[in-house]
Amino acid sequence: MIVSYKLLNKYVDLKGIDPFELGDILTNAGLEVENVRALAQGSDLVIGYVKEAYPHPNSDKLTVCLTDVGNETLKICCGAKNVGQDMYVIVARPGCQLDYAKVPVIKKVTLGGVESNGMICSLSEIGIPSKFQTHEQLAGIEVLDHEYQLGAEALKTLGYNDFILDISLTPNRSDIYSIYALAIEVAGLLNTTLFDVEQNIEQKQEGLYHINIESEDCLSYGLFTFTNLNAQEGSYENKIMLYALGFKPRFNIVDDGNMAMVISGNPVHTFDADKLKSKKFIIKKGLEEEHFLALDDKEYQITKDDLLIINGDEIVAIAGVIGSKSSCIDENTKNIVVESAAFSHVSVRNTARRLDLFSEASVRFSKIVNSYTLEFPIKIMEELLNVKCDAINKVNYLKYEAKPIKLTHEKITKVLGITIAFEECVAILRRLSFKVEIEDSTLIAYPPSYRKDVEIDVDLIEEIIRVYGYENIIASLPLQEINDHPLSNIQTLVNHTKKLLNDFGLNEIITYQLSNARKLDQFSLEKNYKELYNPLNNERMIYRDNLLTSLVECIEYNKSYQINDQQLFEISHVFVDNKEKTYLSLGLIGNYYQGNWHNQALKADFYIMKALIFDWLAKLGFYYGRVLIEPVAKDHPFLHPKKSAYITMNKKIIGVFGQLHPRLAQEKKLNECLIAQIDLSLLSTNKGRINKYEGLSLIPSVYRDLSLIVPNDIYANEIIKVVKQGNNKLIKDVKIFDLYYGQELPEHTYSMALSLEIGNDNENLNELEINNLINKVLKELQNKLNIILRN
Amino acid sequence: MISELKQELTNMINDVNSLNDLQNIKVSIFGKKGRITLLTKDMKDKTIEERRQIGQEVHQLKEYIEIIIKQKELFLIEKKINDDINNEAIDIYLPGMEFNSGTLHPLTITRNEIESFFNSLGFAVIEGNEIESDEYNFEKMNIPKDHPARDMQDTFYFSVEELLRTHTSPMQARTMEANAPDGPIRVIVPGKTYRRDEDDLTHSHQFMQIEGLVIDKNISLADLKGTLELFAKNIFGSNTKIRFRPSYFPFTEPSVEVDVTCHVCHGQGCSVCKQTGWIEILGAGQVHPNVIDNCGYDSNVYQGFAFGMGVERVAMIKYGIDDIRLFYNNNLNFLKQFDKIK
Repeated sequence: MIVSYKLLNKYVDLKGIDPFELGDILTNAGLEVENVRALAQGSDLVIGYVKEAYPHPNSDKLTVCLTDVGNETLKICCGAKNVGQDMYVIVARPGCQLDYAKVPVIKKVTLGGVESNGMICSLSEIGIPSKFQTHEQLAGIEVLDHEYQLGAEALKTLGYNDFILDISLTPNRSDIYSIYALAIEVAGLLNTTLFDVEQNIEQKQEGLYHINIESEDCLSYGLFTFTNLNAQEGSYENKIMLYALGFKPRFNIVDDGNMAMVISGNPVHTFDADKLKSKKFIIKKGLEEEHFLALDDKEYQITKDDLLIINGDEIVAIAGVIGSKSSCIDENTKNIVVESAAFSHVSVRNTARRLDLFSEASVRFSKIVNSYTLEFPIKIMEELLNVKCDAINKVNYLKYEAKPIKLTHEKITKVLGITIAFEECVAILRRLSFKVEIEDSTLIAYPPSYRKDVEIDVDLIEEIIRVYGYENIIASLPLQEINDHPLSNIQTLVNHTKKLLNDFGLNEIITYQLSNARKLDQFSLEKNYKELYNPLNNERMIYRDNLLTSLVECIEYNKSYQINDQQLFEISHVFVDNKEKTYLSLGLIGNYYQGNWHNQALKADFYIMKALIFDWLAKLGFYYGRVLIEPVAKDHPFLHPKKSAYITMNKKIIGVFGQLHPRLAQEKKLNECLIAQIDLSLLSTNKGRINKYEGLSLIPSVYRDLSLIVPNDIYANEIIKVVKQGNNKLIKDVKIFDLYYGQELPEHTYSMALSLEIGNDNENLNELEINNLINKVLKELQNKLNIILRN
Repeated sequence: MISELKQELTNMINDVNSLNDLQNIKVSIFGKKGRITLLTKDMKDKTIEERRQIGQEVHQLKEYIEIIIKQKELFLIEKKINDDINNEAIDIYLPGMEFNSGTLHPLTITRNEIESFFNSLGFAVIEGNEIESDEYNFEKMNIPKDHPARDMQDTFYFSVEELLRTHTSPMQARTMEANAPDGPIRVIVPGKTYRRDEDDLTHSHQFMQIEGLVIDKNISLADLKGTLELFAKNIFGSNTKIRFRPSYFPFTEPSVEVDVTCHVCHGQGCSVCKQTGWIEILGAGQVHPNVIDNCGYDSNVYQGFAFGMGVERVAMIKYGIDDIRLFYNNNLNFLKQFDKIK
């Protein structure tokens, strides 16, 4: 919302307050002023008159101008093409400050041997944005339209002594789209005088028109007839004001209608009465397949959702959005019919959005306009055009009756937590043009018609505190009974997991939840996607069902930055099995551990990923045994079928890990990339073993190493199972410390070296007992698995 | 003769340079055929008087030599330690072993800091689903269909009724319903939220929000101010001040925007705060009576405050990050910059 300080000052006594300070006051009251700027810049500019102009003797580009500035005549060399004799111009004399000129301080200079005592200014040089200027104005100096007093202060005389405030409005304060409503607000904030303005026009005779409203989306409709008008250009000052407010000045009927809208907040639309073919107006919804030639010379397609103004059988306007070419006013217009109406803001908004037609009028109609001030813009037009309206036709023009809102002093204190004197609360509301009645310590407030946002008692409290000042609230802390509210299982699991994986050297990533089918397909098992119906683009259409797609994408991205060693994890929601679940993903590529002169690097592989997962699970109290692994399906789509495994718990698969399938690895150029995905929601339904003291054996263990020859088809888990089985827990631990494959071994075998930790917590074992135990183990290995000792 | 021997042995011991040689000398003096041992070899030919005389002298010599050998030995041990130390010198400037230390995402770090502050004030941390219903995301939060506020937050829909939550506020409604009609509430709700915005320097279609809600019979705007003052000091430093600016949210009344003093210039005005001295940090207010009534409490009896902040925004201010997309690019060179404890 663009506001002219000068225009505002016509409706409220600003007491000469600095525009920048006014900006701060409005911001602090909830009307955020984004920018305050002087309309024009330049100190000490005066009006001058070029008495004589002749070509510069030594330059083709310059003109020597003898310029009368009242008390003296200055010789000025001017470079503008449009300068000439007998012109009124804006003159910057030596010493003048011009921030937007090429040389910001004007000096007396000599140009090509001719002295130059100042500058004749263009609008750009006094800081007028180019969008407010015509092509002629942009190309040269500003040539004034008529005689002015020579030497007069130029900015003030011409109307450039204004400031423009740009206010960003919250949706509840669309009333401020009216300068007059802003004046009410400012009067309340500054505690100053609001200049009362008559908003209604005198009773007139009934007009010639017949209005028929056939849609609920038209709330009120009125037509105001003006006759015998003279279309003419507005004054220089009026044009400047219109430019400043963001309008292109045309001629008085259009310009005054725009000003009336800015001041009242009610948009008007003006028809040329002589171009209307019928006296009958119908306001109703459109039909499909209708076309409409608008005053911007474009043809628009109507739908059944658009509200139309129909004269006879011709569409003369899309309500609140744009008028027709056939009925629009022009420089020859003599008689007009001005429409002032209230439409459903939703209907106007939808149509304006569909047609992409956001004008000052449709933007206002898209908010809620004040339907009780529909005569206000007409009243302003009467004044600006200096012609009285002749006749009126109006339907559903309602008289405003404010709804009373009750508010107790006690409630104010309870909500704010501080006590503001009751009288002050009442005074603040009255300053904001609320009518207030008092009954003991209860007030009954009647909001002005503009303030549709004030409906209930807490709305009044907000009015009171924002004027009283939030800075005057004395802070306190909420006092209440607090119950213990422990974290849920899944929250605890997520927190612990982040901490543990962090300790294991993994880096957390957070990627987007929205992806597309092309990408998700590679790592999705179900491909049963949760799809948006209004995605922003093709990249982000589906709420993902796996984390691996983004994980691998992230690895590729970092690879492209030559980051070859990556250790990543992510915990996030996914949509699987028709519900939101929490998943964990892990990714490793390159070295898990950096090498240097001191120690060798440790390259990430299946067993490092396995260790990470099972260490993490063990720390959570899920030991190997409760959590198991098993081979994945032979045709696994995204994992290397021979270097991958399911993680199972209670016979349910809770996750999967392994090396990226060679086909994908080749496509993405990610060699030996390890990935994992685990269902934390499922895991969190299980309880991990908790810490408990298990006793401390003071009897030292003994260690025995065995080197075995193992058939190729026997897996490590089978060997360990046999070693540990049935030995009265005397074998406390088994470590595989070496594997060896060599020619000298028997065919289809390999060698495995085990280290057994043997001990009895109650007594020392003697050599014989140990040897018996070892022999028993060896015998069972041979019987059950065909494993023999390597000599 | 003994005194000559004493001199000779003393010289020998003095000349020794290694513990090994000293050991050999020791044997050559005290061994079976050692020089001192030999002195008492043919004592049986001597008189008792002579024997005593010789015995005494030999004993004195023996004691003397033992002492100087011991001294020499200590000297040589010390010398060997010193020699060894010099031989064992290493380059202390070579890098040590490189540990593999991981990092949490800066949004998680920021979220954790905010959570632990509110935890210390007794706020419970609850989370909700990201896929929400129109009813909880909008209707119950006093944003009916066609409300102008729906323009403020363009929404991703799955269907007419199902959407990606545009804020964490639906959990306000769910928490109130779970505790209605009279349970006191003091919670924060962190989580991912979504707006139908093109991604740019300051906008992200996915972002993280933390919502706060306190409901009881007498929870006031002054309590909100006190809570957020402590929050700002805890997160942005003890000199931080806050200010409330009136604003508008459909689910709070009165509504405020909350600014904190700029952490760079401390309120003096600089480029970070666009010369205002203040940085906008969150939105807050007293919960709208319609919301309270919608969720099973009686707004004539119960009231409270709510606030909502963007975690990205807090992190961007704290760390001086100027592009929100960096959080979601996950460049490891970016992520590893946030590995300090605080």
